[in-house]
Amino acid sequence: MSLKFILSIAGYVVVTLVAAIGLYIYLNYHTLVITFDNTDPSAKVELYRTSHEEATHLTRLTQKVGDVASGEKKFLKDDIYAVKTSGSDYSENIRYFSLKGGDLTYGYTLSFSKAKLEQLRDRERAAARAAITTEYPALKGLYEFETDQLLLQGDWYVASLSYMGSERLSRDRLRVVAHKQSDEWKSVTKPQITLGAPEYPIIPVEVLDAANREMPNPE
Amino acid sequence: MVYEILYWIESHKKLLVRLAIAALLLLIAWSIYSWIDRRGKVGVDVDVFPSNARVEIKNHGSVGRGVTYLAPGTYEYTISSDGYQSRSGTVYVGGKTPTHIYASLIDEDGDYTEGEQRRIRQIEAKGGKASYQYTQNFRERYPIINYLPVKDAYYQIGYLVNDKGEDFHLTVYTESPLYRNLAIKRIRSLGENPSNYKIVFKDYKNPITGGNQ
Repeated sequence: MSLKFILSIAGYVVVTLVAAIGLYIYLNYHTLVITFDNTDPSAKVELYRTSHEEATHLTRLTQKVGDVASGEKKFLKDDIYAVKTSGSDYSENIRYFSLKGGDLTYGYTLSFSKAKLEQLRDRERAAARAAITTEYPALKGLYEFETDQLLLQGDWYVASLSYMGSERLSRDRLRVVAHKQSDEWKSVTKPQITLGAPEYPIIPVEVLDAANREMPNPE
Repeated sequence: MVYEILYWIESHKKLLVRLAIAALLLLIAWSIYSWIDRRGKVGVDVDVFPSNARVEIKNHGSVGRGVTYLAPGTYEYTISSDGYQSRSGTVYVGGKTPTHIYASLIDEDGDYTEGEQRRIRQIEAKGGKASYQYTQNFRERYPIINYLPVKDAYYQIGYLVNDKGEDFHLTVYTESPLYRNLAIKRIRSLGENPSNYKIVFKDYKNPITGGNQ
């Protein structure tokens, strides 16, 4: 066999190897983009590599990948990852996700600590309730605000409404959500017995879950 | 003649080896491309009458008969052919259950040959099997229906969808506010999160909105 023939065979082998390595990277590494709103420079969003076992047992996160900025692209090996917030006024709000299904754009929401949210609620309550009753004036006199809560970065308000009228078959407790945008509160759901994600897809799941939380039977 | 062929092979040995390797690499590359292209997609078997009918899937393009691979989601499709009445439909692609588009267009003249009638019957038979698989598919998408209907002495929980199999919502029948609340608790006890569903209370009129939610 001539040298030229051997070189050409070697060339094919090299091309195949390079293709195999490229394929391995293509199949095992994917791009992750985490998007979130954060206007507070003291709050940092951290990305951790974790495992199915750690995610299942919610063990302490140890393998930090780094801090991430919203929209920043990271090229990472397929695995389970976790994202959390660090900052004095913030809750960790740890969220797990898998990069094994392919490229992923993950929408993350920062959340203030419970103490901070309670402090903010006292300040925002009147404005949020006014927005709801302005949108639904029939609530006045017929329902009263029972429990309420601010969520995430203080921009989501959920409340339950108890019936004050005389119709016994209408005693259901209603739930309603308001959202603060451009410094203005606005009711984003109708007052309903339950608020479902199919009807309100733009409302974060944790907000809907808080609105729909289990309540005592109506009296 | 045989000698000439052997002689030609012997004199072009290098070229033939290179061609064989190149063909093998091309075959491997094509297999890898097909495999990658189909990752995360679900096979949708398409069979229509007449065979040359155009099957146009919205936001995807036209597809031919046979298996087409689509990413999970809901697709609207239109089937059309000259001389036949067009028809449209929706196909949900998701889960592990294979999905199908089986349809026969109606001849505007109502004139079918025996062969055409046989072909239509074949597609109808496939449609029967597909109907069973659709039910399986639907159960994967809305696992709560495996527990429905719930028939309590004081309330009932069921579900409804529209003609296109869309607008899935749970229905609760009871006039009592107490049992409506208990019905929601029952949904939770089934391991389902009420936030994931639109729930319609059929015997309730919301004093604020006038609706039944």
